[in-house]
Amino acid sequence: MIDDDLDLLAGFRSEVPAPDAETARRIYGLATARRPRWQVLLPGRLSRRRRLALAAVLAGLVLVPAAVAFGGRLADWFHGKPAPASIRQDFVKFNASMQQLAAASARAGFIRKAPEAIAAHAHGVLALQTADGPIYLWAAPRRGGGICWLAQFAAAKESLFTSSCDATWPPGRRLTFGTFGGASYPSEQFIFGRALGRATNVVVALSNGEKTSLPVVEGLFIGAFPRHVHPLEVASYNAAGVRVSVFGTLAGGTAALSSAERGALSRVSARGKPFPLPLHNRFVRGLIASGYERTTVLLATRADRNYFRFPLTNGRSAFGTGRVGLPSVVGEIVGAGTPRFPAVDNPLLDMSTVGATQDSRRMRFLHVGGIAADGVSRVVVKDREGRGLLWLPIRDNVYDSGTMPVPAGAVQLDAQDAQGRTVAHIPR
Amino acid sequence: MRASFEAAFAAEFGPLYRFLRRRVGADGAEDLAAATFATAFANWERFDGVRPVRPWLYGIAANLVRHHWRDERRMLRAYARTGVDPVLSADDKVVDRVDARARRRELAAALAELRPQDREILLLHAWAELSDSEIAAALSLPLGTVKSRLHRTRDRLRNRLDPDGQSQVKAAIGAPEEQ
Repeated sequence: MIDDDLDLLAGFRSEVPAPDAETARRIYGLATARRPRWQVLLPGRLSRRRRLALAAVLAGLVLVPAAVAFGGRLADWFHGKPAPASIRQDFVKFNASMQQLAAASARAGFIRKAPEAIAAHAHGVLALQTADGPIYLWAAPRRGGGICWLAQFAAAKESLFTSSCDATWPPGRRLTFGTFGGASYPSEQFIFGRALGRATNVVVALSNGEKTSLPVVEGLFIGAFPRHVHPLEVASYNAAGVRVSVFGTLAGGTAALSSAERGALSRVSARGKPFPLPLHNRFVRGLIASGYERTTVLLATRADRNYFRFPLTNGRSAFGTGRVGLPSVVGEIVGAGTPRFPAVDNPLLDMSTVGATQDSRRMRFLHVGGIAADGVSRVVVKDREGRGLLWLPIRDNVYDSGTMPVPAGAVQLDAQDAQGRTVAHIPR
Repeated sequence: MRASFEAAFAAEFGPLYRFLRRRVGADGAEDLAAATFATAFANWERFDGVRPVRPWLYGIAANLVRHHWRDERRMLRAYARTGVDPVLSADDKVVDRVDARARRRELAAALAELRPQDREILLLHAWAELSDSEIAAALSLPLGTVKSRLHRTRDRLRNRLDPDGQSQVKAAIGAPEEQ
């Protein structure tokens, strides 16, 4: 009979039971809960390549080093606690945004691949009580292996999160971490990250001479430290006390630098040219409303890219880049919050484009460019084994690969000073 | 007149959830249903209320399921090999005839071998009960393309389920997973 196949198919489906009222209620709550703050990190006006680069940054948790001091404020009771509906919904929305980014990258000819958290299995990992309120670190398994995580600033007026997943690039990194802080939790800075290789604790050495140890739970750690200090070294250890991985800004720490060298790594002195922002542009009006001056500074133009310093009304600066002729002027802005730039432990503001092509499915640098502090003399593009592929000079505090094709194996960058010492490394 | 989001959820959640659970299992269905309705909720004000809601929702869901086609194929193949339906839990009471179960194993094997978009069209037709024009709207495809692909896919399925096609089905069951 002609409809036999359809009858058989319909029978197939009819075995699946209807969802119960509790499931419906839960999913309705997930779908309609408040919009998480991290979505503002993904403005539609970013170009596809920039969005891809931003996705790679989010997926890799490539932030900036810092340190920690606590005093027993980590809560054990939190580990394993099932995540509430609002947190699972944040994971679901994180997945949706990652998929949108992947779709955008696919349309641009890159690989369509997005990390995906299994939101139904989200659970608590660590809770940290800070001077401004608790920070909860949640995790969920990542489909295909690894985990995704989400840091929730529970006392923030607006829903405030930062979320990410284990990255497939760069491979084999056993210690990744970042620092953050801001208006919602103004009293301290925070560090959180991922320590793999069976690490059980992470030791952070601070510029004020303190050292502190943070427990690693499910490969994650979190802590807080005073705003006026910066980290010199972060190292992870296993249960036997053997060091698994170490991250230092410079061999011997930045304390090894002279005060003049430290100063040179903490400033951007290119004067640039005044560049009035187009006030008719909605994105620009949004910037001005959020504290940007009406006239920015064009530091340099390389090939088809402009590099800017954005003076803020509070006296600080943000930096950004955008293609020449872009209506909104800028496609990517790195704000003036933490991690602070330029700073001795953060002398390179890299705004390179990362992605993979159909020809070569490995993530790599597609274009290299960014802003460097005065003390950086050149940026070396390297392959996985650390071999130099491309040497980019710094002019007007800007480095850019321009129209030069970036070699296929380019996966890391070293910022070097005039003595050839590496003062910053990307990814951190 | 545009329905409220609440009304649309009440009307469409059950069928959509079952559609998704049949395709990707219980855990995946919860996440995908939540993501589908979260996307719809976020875009509700921009949605043209004159258009029917169902194809729009299933279009969103189809985009999400697309990322799970390997999982779906793995489950269909597992069902074909073992006769144990991976999308049903032990608590799900299923009364079934043995001969129908055997036919479904063959059907699962045949579905597993379809191209993802052909399977999408067929299952939107058979499980979501969308009309050809609703499928066209959901997948942003021309109506003629939907009709011809559906016709061709059903032909292919019938050929596989035909007694003469059994050897092909068995070969499909035994085929290794593609990476």
